[in-house]
Amino acid sequence: MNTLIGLAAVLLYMLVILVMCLQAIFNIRLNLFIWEKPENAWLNHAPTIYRDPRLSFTLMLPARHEEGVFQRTIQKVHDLNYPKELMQIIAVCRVDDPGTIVEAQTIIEQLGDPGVQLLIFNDYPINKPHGLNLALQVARGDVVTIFDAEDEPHPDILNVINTTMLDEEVDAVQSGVQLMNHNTRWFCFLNVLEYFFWFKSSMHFFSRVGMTPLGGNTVFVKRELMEQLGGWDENCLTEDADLGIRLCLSRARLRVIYDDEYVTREETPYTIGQFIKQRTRWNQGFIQILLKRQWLKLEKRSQRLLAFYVLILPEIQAFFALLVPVSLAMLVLVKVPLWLAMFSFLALYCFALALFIDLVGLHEFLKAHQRKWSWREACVLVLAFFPYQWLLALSSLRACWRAMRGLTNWEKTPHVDHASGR
Amino acid sequence: MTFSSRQAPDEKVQSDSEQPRHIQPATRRRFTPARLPDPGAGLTSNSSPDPDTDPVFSASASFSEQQPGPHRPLLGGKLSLPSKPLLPRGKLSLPSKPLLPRGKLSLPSKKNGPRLHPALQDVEQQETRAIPQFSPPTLLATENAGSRQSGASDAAADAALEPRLWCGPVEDAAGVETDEALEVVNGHVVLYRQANFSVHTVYRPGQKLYPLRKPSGYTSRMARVMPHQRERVAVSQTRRMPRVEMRETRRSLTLPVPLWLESAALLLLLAGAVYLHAYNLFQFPGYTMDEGTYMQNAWAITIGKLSPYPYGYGHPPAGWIQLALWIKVSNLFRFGAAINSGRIMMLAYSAGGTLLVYLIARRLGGSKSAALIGMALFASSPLSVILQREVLLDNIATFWLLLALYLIVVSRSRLLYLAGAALALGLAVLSKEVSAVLLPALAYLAWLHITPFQRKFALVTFTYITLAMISTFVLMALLKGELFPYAWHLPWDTHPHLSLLDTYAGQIQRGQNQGSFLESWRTWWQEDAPLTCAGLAAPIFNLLYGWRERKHLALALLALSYWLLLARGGVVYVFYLLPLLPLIALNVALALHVLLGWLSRLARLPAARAVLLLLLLSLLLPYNAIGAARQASAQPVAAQQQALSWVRAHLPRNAYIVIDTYMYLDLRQPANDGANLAPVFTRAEVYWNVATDPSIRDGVLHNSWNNIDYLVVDKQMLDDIHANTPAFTILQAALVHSTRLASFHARDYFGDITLQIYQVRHQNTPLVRAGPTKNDAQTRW
Repeated sequence: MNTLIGLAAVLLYMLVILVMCLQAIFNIRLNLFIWEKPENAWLNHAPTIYRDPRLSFTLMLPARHEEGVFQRTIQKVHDLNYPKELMQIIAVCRVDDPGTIVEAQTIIEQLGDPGVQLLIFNDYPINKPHGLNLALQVARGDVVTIFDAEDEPHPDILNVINTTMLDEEVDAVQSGVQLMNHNTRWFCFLNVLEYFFWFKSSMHFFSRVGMTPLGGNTVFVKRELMEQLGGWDENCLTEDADLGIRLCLSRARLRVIYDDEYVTREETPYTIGQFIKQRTRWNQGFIQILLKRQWLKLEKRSQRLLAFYVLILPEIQAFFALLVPVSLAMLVLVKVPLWLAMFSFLALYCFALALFIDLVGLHEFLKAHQRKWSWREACVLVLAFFPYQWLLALSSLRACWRAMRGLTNWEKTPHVDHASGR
Repeated sequence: MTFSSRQAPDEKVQSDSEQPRHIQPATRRRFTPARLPDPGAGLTSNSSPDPDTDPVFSASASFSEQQPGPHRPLLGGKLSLPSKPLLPRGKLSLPSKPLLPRGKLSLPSKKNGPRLHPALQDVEQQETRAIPQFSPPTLLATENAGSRQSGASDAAADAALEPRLWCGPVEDAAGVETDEALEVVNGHVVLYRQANFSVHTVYRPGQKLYPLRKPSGYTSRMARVMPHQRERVAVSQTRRMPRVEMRETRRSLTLPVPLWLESAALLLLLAGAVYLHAYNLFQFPGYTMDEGTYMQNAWAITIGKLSPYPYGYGHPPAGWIQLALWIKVSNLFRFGAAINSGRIMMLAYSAGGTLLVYLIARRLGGSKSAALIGMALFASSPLSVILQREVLLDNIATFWLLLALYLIVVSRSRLLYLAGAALALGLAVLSKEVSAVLLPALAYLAWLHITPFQRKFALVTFTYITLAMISTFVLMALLKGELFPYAWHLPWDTHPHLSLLDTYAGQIQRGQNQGSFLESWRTWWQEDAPLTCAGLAAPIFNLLYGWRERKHLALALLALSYWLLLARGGVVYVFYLLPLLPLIALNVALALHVLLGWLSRLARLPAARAVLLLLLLSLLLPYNAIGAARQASAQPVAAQQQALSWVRAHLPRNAYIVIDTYMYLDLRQPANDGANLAPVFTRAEVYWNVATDPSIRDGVLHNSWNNIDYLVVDKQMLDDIHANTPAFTILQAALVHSTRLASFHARDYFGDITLQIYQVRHQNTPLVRAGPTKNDAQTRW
């Protein structure tokens, strides 16, 4: 009996290690997808010769308590190189946020452009998708898009999207979003790289499989399509990912562009607390989407599997991150056979490979943005690798806990002067 | 009743799917009369902001006319799009005809309907400027304007509920309206107001306002979109072009050879090579200590140990783990002696290696005839025919090295291939650690075969995987607590043990007394002078030519780095040449390809290169093959087999026999000796371990030669016993006190083989006796 339990424990342990390795390897594959073959290099291309502006855009700027940056954001969006007649900028605020409203009104007054509009709503729920849905009602552009309050879109982004949408028969374009403050806090390195790999590489894999959880901003969707889809899901905490899955369900043609030049620049959350809150919201949103079970309607098994993987990933990662110390402790404390000990190290080897890939990613990121490589930063990245996983694990557990408690309120992540509209 | 908002998307979807989805100026989303009732379809015009033709803007323009103040032309002039009216005018004119086809729906008149923004009211009057797609009026249109008119309270309620566009202050019950209808809050005009939200923008008198559009309603339906995602073609380019050009070797197509002919020639040559290697495989060359060691280790793996004696980290165990897999699949004694089984496996490895040499040379040089030369050189050299038969880790490692090389060469810059190559390379190093010296040159070759766009990630992945695999060897020692020498007395070291660092420190300090480079060189020269000569000349040529063609440089570096390892001054056995053989063959093939290419260009005969190569092949092949076959026809194994049979027939089963490794498995495992099951000698021990392993020498034998019963010795054993005085004293003493029982002799190409069997003359009864074994009943002692 004892041996039977022991055997079962060993088998379970091996299974966990195996799943861990497979997950790590698959994750590495996602991260390296764009570098897998030379042909994949062209997937990210943005046009350089622009067509004449033809599509009109409605740019939605949802904001809440963004007094510090909102004027600048509106100014930046208004300054985009595109005919102003073809741009409608809708700042979305709630009536209980007078500070931001005043800021918006001030800049609207300064700009003196009736294309810049302020939408003030007073009902519930108080969240981003609701504001967006209201803005969608009054949007007049051919294409709707969202920019968050702290975003810095590239001045030519609308020309790029205009050209792409005219040249290629696409219904939606996800342009790259990139966190830029890679070295402000210790967790910033990995957060920045996460964005880097996610938008530059993984998105293309998702797009190839046909299951694309979109990013929260710089997503350009044809307004008609957006209306047919019925707007954003107001009950979902990650309406962007939900929208992506629904776009895939309706077989929308999606194009992913990540050109280092044209990325929309963002900032990481300012403190660990905010970072965890932001992650918690994302993870909880993923749990919501998972439980909404719309992804089960995806046609192919590969799509469903990928959807399940992406949605459940935070929980898996949390589980693994918690398991690593346990596994190490077991190696030290429990006398295990040599082969089993070696087998457990397989997972560690996979993690180390991911770490090295991250280091190379850092180098690539710095080169793309003409920044200097620093060995000190590389060391910080290496040291932060496992603590970062635990941060993710913590936010994932917190998300599970909140989901079970039924807490679905919008935990906004305010920044000090870098506030985000989420 | 207003338009039901749920109706709108339905109609729109339908009309959308009917329309072509091409995005063309002024044709896309042109509105047809049929779509007029659709309130959502109104303001999607994207193309023509011409104030004269675009109703969207004409509405705003008319608004500006009414307002006092300077006219600010925010629009127009910037876009050069055809100023065609969007719609046939005849059909759509306002307001003499109802705006909407359905009779019920008409724009409310200025007096009676809900109040419109002055701009909209103006629109009504502009008969010539049709604005069918300007939906805000339709938003406010009611099915029955009259009923609304009559019930003032109704109107008020509706006004509160319905979205109103361009609305001024809410109309009072009496329907009195003010002329200045624009709702201005804090200097901002309210464009749109609903119960739950409002849209504001800047207010400048005389400013053109853009229209808004009506809500689509919230649904969860799936949009119907044409699934052409995969067919789309990206015609765009970026400013920062990724560099994805590959280094492809030009194929020399002087002789167009069909695939079947090529395959046939290849198969024929391959079959010849296999035959040459299999010829007299079990009789030549004589079993050696190394072969026996690896076979006994492989057998130990099958029972869950790394070696039958304490594992000393001499070599990583991956090589004999592969052997173990093979003997698990086949049977240890299926081919006679245990070593024969291993030799079959070596045959497979050498056949695979031969094929890989051809494929690599063909891809690198782009020439089939050169590839054939390389393959023939590799397969038929007497050196390879002799050495590749032996169960040596070098043979295993060579195969994996070639596989890594092949995967790099055919990768066409695919990351997966490079990862595979790294795995193969790691396995090669784990099979025989010296393969690691080729890592830099192989990394350079990988660098050449990967595009600059992927290079950083690919090389890090490649190097990491290789090093990670190698590191598992160190990890194993660490986990077993045998990495650091016991002499360091680390806190957790409680008992003496072997150590990886000790072993490798010893190997580095090892002198040349066991085998020197020059001695081995003499053997190589004697066996195959042309190959040995070319083995230096071809890499040097390629090194120079590498200035022009980097792939030649990489190949030259591969061969030269291994030559350097051999020439560094450490121990060099004859079989250390093994990994170098395919590298030499490849270098020769590519160098000949280039040289003869020059020659044929000089002679202006493009086909001369291939013809000359094939001619060379037809000379080389018989010369090599005949020489190799002549050597391989000796039968030295006969003596060893006779000795084995004699031991089985004459010695007692619980006797303490000191043997060489190649007899170990045959004596200790129940082998089939002809028809009968051979006896098992549980106390047969390998001489090296008897002399050096403290647990045997001091533990079992109490360091007394008297406890040894028999010795089966050959020449190398005798040399070892006499050369290592302090450790081997016990065996020296045993030999001194023994009588020769039998002697077996056989001719070998390298010198004759002699095996002698000695019986120790015991001074007194041996102290050490094994406990009763299973065989005790049959003991003939």
